Amino acid sequence: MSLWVDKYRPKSLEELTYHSELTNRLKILASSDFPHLLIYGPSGAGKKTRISCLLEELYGQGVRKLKTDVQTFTTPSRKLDITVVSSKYHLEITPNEVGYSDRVVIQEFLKDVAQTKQVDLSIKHDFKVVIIHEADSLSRESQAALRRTMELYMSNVRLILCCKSPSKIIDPIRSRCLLIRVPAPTNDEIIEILSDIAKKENIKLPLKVAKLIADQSNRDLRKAILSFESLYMEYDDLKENIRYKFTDWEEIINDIANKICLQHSPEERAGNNVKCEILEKAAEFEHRSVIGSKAIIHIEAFVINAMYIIGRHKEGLNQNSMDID
Amino acid sequence: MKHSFDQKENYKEDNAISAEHVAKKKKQCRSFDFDFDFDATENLLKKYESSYLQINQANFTESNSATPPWPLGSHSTNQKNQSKLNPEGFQVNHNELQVYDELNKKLERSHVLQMKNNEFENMRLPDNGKYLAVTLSSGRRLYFPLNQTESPIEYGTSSVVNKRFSNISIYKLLDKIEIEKSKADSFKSRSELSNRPLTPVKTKLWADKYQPNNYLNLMSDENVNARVLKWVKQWDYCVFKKKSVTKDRTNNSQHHDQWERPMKKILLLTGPPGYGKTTLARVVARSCGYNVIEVNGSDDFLSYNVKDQNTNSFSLASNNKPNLTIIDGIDGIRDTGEQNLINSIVDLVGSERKDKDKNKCHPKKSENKRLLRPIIFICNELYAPSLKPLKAMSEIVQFKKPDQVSLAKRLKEICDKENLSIGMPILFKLIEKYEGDIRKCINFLQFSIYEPKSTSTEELLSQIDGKERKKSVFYIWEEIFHGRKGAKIKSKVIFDEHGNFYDTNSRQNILRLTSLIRSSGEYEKLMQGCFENYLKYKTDSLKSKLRACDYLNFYDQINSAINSHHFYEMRECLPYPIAAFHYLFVGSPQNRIRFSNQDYENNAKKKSTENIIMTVLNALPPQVRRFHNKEGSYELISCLVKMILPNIRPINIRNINHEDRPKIKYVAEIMHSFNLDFILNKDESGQINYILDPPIDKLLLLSKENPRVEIRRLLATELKEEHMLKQKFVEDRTNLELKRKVASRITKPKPSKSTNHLNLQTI
Repeated sequence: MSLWVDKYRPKSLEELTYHSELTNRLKILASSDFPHLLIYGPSGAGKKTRISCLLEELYGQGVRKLKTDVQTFTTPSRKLDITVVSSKYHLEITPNEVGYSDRVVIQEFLKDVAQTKQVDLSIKHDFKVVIIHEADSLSRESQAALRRTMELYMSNVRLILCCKSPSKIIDPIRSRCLLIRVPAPTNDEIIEILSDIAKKENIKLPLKVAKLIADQSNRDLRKAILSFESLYMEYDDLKENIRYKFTDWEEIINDIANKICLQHSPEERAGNNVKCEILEKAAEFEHRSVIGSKAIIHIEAFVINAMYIIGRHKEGLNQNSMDID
Repeated sequence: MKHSFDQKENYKEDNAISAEHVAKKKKQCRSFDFDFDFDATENLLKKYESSYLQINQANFTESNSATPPWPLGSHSTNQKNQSKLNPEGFQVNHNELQVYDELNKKLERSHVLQMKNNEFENMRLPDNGKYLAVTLSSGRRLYFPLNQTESPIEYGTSSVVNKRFSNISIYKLLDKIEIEKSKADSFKSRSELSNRPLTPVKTKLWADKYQPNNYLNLMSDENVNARVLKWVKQWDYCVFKKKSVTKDRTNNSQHHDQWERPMKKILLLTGPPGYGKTTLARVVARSCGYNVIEVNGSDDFLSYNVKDQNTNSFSLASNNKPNLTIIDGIDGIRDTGEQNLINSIVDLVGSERKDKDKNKCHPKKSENKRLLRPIIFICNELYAPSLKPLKAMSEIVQFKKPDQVSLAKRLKEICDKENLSIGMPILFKLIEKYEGDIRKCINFLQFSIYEPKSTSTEELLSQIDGKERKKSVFYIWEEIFHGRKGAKIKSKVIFDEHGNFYDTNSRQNILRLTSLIRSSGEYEKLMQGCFENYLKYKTDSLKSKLRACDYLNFYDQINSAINSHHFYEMRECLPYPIAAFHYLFVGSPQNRIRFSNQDYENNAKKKSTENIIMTVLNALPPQVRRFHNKEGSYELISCLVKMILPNIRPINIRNINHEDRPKIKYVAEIMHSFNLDFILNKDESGQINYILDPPIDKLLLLSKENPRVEIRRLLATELKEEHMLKQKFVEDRTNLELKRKVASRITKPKPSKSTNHLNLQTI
């Protein structure tokens, strides 16, 4: 027994409901020569689901037999443990687990896999697939270590890199991969899936509630399904007037945001001008936090900037003139 | 044979060099005795002789007229033969001639000594010109005419042999020695000069000269002195087997252990340099009748062995006084090998604590294992990581700044004794500048007299920099936010229309501040402190805070560039954004600067959260595990907690309605699949509660409406059932498989096939 997210996860390409064009492409890829893939898209869009479906397309149902084990790598300074999910045909790692020393993992683990050849003739493809999750958090060094391996052992191993945004992947790797974008599902698609689950679970799901969940999920299907299930557990029957529950961190952030706004303009909702300015600042500080290392500094800086913008806006309303100082 | 000849030649060369030297040295003398290094010469000659004889014997065994093939017939044993010899009856063996020729050729270069082939000629004084006299061990004298360099040289097969034996003339060598000697002399004289000029005889540093050797003369704080003395006195019973004075007075057994030693076996003196720690330790130890053993950084810490000190407690060298060890500069220990010193002491003290009860039965056996003599540690930095294990078991005495007035008086005394005319106000200034570092003050006084007389002491004072001691981060924060203590003019900041600011009080200020920051070197900490504190300082607008954000961003960007791309040269820039905070936020000291270490705490919290998440995730079956990662799990956990702590209304558990039953079952199943469990726990008040394990509900802040204990209990029992069910299921399955296997074995007893799927290592 598992959560609905896992229970109703599509197992094969045929079961996928949205992005049918992408599904077709994957199908073609699986039947022809299979390149290295770089799959990216927002979280909850279904990247990993598609990868697992693709694997099933490649190797058949054998990939469902999985095992997890912990491999240990030793660096001069410390021991690194990394969990490896693997089947006969493929391996999955998340190098991010070991932080900065992911280079060792990439070098040793990948080479080890890449240098072994599949000898079982009954298997359709003579290469193994290695899936690297959270590839965008790979350090520069380990990405550099990856590039030669990708070329050298092409015959033995195919990589599937999975990440949110390809911008942190260095160019040489991007050029060696086929980039596949998995966009987030639209609200309608989410609603469709939710109602499908409801039907299978024998639950009455009013369209309005489905819409509410889909709206609040930010087009994140995983979140939508999870909150659907938790809502169902919370309320016995999902009536139209239920209160959507945010996750904890969302509520905290909402709280803070409200406080920022209230302090300066209790009566006035911010105009479009202000929104644009804040958005611009948000983009700027997001970028800064990516470049820098201490997120809290940039978050605080953003808050101060937002407060400044809002405050100035309010002042401008009062005095009817934009006073810069 | 040839070889031996060469040897001979060498011997002769040796002689000749010396001869040459002497000859030239005493050119003015016509005749002189050859009296240099007589023994050596004789030895050489003897050697030469014997080898010569051997050759002779080999070649002229039959011949009586064994003429020396060698013109220098200065051999006592051959004397007879040679004297009898007639130059006309000179018979030369063919072989010998050849060799002789060779030798001659070799010697042709030389022309200082004229050698006659005839022995007789050498035996009488030459007719004219200079000559060299050689006295042999037998007492016979031989005379060798000296060749005039101007005079033409006669060459002949055997008549004249001209010799110059060395390539480097002895004079050159002598000259060299002379030069070196003079060099050394001049160096010596110079250094003497530089040492001498003003003070006639001063070999001691004043700091040592005026070191107090008596308890009453100590400069350090009275309380500190007393504490140290008391601690050392507490050892009296253990060391001297006599009742200590302090014990009688206090009569407090709490301060002592079973062997009448102080409870804390180690004394740790700490404080900045020059406060008199070592002096105090020495004086106290001496006055208590100990033999002081000092171990410090200049010695090898490794060579010191605590156990040796314990056992060799009464050595001869110590005048029958027990040892007291002072280990100085213990915070300087870096090497892991040296760390053993601390560890061994810690072990020693720690082990006796453990064995306390056992030792009562075997008091003698434990004698070796005990610390029998006091040890005093001295360090500057109390918080050095290597001291951590030591601190727990030691009595820590922190030194304070010595009293200014009494220190000034003491300095004045020294000045008077040394005939220095320095006024009290200057001494006070000096003390202030050096922050009470006694040693440094005295050193300054001592070396001030070497300055030219024209410069006044006041000028000197202005020349020297203040003590370059690392300021604490708090001091720097104070300076950043509250301005410099005692500064007359507070720096004022003016913004121009572009938002750039100028300091009215010149760039000197910022240079000082940045150098201060640089000297501390703890940029990360400083910036963190600035970050935590800057919001407390109210400024007119948000503007300065915005600027502060930019500086923080600048700092962060540089810092991450240094860390991830190793641009270490950028470190130079780091002090400036910190210093900028001074200009943005300097204000009145109404707020206390606090450093809450929040960053570190948050990090630790984050790590523990991540650990919990990872344990949950890793417990998942691989089919599910692969789809969840750390990032996505925030939502997963949030929803999961809400699900497993459901909102079930019934008050009475027995009356759970049929709708809720399946729900509870479902929750139990999910919990099982996530490997979550309820653990029975009793809190302090004795109330029973069930706690989630792993405690994922701790990760959420808002889970206020926890289900009541009853429901938790219900869930726990349900979970147990679920576990049992699953286990039974698994067991059944394995049993079934086993049975099947056994059955298949019986039917077809084939050897088990190896797996099809082999991974072959490619070569």
